[in-house]
Amino acid sequence: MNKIQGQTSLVMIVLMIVIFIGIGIFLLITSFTTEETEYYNLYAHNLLVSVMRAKTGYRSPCDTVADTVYCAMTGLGKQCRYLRDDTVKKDCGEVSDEITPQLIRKVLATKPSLDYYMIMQPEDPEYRGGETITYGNPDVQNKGKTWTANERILQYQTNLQVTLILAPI
Amino acid sequence: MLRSGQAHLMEYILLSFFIVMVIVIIVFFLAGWQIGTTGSRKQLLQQQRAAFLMKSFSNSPFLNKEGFKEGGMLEDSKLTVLDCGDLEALVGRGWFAEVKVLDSTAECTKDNYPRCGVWKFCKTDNPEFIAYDIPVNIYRTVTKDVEIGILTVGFYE
Repeated sequence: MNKIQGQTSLVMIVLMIVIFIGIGIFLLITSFTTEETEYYNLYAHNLLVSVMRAKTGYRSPCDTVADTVYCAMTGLGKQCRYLRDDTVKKDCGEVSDEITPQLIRKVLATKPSLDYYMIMQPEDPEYRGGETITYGNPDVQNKGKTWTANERILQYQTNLQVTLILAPI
Repeated sequence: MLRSGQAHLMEYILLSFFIVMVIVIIVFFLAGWQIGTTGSRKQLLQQQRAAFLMKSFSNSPFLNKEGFKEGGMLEDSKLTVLDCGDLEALVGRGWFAEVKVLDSTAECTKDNYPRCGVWKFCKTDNPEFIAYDIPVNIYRTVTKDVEIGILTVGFYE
């Protein structure tokens, strides 16, 4: 009887130690993640908004990156003239593929520890078969720690949903 | 009978030993936790302060182009005429800010504007500081161009 009592006490003590250690680890992990998340969420949001508003160096309909992406998704075959040389003409998709990743990479050069993935799709899933445009590294989506920013490009035919995911390399 | 008593005694000694061990572990754990949280609390407060400064700076109507409230659309002409004193009156002392157009190195003054792309406010030689940066847009008043830049806000320790 006494032996069983002694064993029960030991088990209780071990359990208490395990519970304390568990609570400690949990609190430590949650406190660190909250701090990082706030800053990187702000960073991701500002990066997305800044890139979308930036001028491309081409004339309408490729005035800004947002305009270009929208044109690439909706305006089949539309072309944009280069501002500095009117003879240079490119498809909206071509301009978007050239400028958007280039701008993101330029900004992220100041944060070399981050990788990105950008997804642009129409809000109406039936619009042009729900076709999407993506840039960056798709593996970023599957990383454990990510920071996501969402924005909408409001346009006449269909709004676009733009998502930028950042993750540590 | 004596053996049974000794066994009991040993059991109590063992139990007491484990209880003391648990108390010692708890004390160490709480002390470590306190030290850890103090450090992270300091970091958290610094981040909150930096985030507040970054948001104040990037959303301030004194620096932004009219009509843009979110995400920061800093107007280069406003940045050029602004000085440290104006900003200190707005958000207090002990901090600095820098706005840099990507790929630009020339610091802006009233003489070389608009052929420049770096604006510095309240920067001193103090090497001990904590800084955070976020991307912002910079509106070029003369060319009506919108570029991307990095806003760095920090404070001296």
